[in-house]
Amino acid sequence: MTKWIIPKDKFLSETKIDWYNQQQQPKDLNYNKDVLNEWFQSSKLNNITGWESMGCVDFTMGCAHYIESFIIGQNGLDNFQILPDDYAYYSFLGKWGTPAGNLKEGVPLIVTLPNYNWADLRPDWEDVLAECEHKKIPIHIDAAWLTLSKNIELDLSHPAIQSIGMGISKYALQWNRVGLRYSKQRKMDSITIFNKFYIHNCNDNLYDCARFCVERIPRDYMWNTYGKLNADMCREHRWTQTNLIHGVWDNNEIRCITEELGLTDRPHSK
Amino acid sequence: MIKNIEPTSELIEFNFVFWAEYWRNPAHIEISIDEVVYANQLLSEEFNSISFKTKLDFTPHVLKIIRSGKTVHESRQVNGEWESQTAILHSLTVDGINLRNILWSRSRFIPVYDVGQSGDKIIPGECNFGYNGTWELEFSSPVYQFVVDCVRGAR
Repeated sequence: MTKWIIPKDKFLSETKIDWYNQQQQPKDLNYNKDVLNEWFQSSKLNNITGWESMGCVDFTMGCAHYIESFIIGQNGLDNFQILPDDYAYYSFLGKWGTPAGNLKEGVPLIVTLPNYNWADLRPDWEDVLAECEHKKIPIHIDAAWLTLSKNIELDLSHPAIQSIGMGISKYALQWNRVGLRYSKQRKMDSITIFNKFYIHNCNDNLYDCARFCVERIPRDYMWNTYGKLNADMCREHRWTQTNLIHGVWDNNEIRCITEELGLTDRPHSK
Repeated sequence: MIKNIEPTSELIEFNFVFWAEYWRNPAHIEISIDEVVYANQLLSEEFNSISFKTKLDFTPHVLKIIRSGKTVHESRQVNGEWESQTAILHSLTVDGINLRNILWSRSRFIPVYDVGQSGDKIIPGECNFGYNGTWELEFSSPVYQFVVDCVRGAR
């Protein structure tokens, strides 16, 4: 299996330096949330619809927080299901996948989309959607990789889809993990407590920084900046392009090309 | 930006667990929210689980349990020990949250005493229904906000 390296360039690194070097003014929590919400919705390269159906928008500390909060909301590991070939995090927790077709009726499903095993939506995604609608299985989507994707189509208003978590970390912003959870109905869980319980604002600094970063980084920055380089390299090496900027098919195996694109920590120019 | 439209209602699951004992006739309970009845049944021996889902508008609500079926004939003494008809609300889980302390501090039981019996007109937090009567809990939707406000002391 390929080792995934999150791409990083001079511009993204400078965003971090700017944050630390410049004097900052705090903004209102809701202002920060609106900026992030607009940023997530502003992709021209993906077709995400049904935003209006996701009425509850809450700050998260990234998609790992989204997952952990989901697990707390289900009252533990036995009360939800995952699909095979999903995020390794679930295996670390002793959780194993149930194949599409065998999902348990009414038991919530959490799924990673796009999935790095295919650098795209899962090949069984349409079947999963139909099965979940038929079996009344609520779907929760961890969309951590969406920021590095193109051509991803999701209709959030689908009756089975109950929530989706998005994060900014994949733009080399792991040093300030922030995201939004979009949901049709809030449950009592960690994210709800963070957003609705504490009287004093939580994580103002975290969210100010996230707003600062996305105001500088265009939503489709990676594909718009490195899409041509990606295509040229695919042609040169006879790789097949995927829907993730740093993933290709190389002889029927998925391969991370962050190093080949020159987007690692090593010194380079944009 | 497409505006995310805040919901005005929610689909909530209620899970009741009752404990019941009897030697003659079982206790009867009727569960309603805002006068809409969701369960109406006799309680069998030991644990009884009752679940339902309902859509609730984001407004105040009243949950009621009417406990009935207890007459003076349901109690007897056997070898010096009293046997009777018991009905206890063991737990109530709403939207995955076990309300526990909220039940004990915010509910009330209004007993209907038999002839010759007397006691408090309203018993706060009583979940052991030793008499016929009506148990009530005022709550509001969204439920997560109600729980947050109770814990915070805002209610």
